[in-house]
Amino acid sequence: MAERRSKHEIIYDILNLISQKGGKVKPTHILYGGNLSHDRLKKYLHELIEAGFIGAVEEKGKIYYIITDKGYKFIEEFKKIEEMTTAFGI
Amino acid sequence: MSFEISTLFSDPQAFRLFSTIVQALGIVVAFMISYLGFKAYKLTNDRKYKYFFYGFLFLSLSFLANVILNILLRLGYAKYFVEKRYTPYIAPMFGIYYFFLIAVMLAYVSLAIVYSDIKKPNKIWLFYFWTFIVGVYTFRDYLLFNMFSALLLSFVVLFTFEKYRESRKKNQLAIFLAFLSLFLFHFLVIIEKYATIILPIRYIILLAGLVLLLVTLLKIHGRKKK
Repeated sequence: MAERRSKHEIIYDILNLISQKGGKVKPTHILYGGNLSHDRLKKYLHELIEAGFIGAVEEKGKIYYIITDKGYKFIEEFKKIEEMTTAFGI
Repeated sequence: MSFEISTLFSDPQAFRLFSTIVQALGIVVAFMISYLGFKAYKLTNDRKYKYFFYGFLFLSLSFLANVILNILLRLGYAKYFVEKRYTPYIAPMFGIYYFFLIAVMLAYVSLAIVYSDIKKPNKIWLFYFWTFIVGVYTFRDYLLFNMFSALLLSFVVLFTFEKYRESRKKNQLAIFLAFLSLFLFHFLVIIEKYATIILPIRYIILLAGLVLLLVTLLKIHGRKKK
């Protein structure tokens, strides 16, 4: 059975997904790619906007989410921590 | 270069300089790892990173205390310390030595907590309490201090070895060998009084362990951005 992702792993997955899609995605992409329910996704997107990791823009009547510099920095820091965690086996 | 490895084994001054350099490297390496642990804790709020941060911070401070002691000994305060003569000079030295002992103990118990995955705060405080008590009472017994340090480190060594055996990753091998070096650094004290050559060998082993930690750390920091 797959292990439950922690809150920070989910945040990392969402940010990484946006980053890999060129830094700008529709909410449906995050919903499917992030493997989250609609309610949980809404909660996470709200938190990420509050934290300044992503921003929301409207283009031709559609909402897009864009990753900010702070979001990119979080991805880098998280990768380093993951590598440290693996190396030290903690 | 005129310095030869044999000088290390025959000249006490050369050895003291060498051990000070090794421990100065220890301050830097342990502090860098503790900083990474602190960042991990800030980012994730996971308590295992908090104890990881404490572990390496205490280790860094213990190296710092030892370097200060080495410098004070070099400045000529050794006779007061060795003779246990209670002069105004001696009080700070005893204080620093006490701090060194307790910092080492708290460093290793923090790491043992991380690796044994203890989560309940009352158990963690119990561990810290008994380790602190042992740290205080090892003041007069150098062998006991090192054996207890080796005992705490043996948990870490076993755990990191198991992790390496599961994954066979180079970084995990380096970390296992680094902790094994720290373990041997303490454990070999048991035969030090029968062969004085063991003392510089212990510091060479410690240096190897610190270099392994540093290399792993540089690999983590030097990872290319994708």
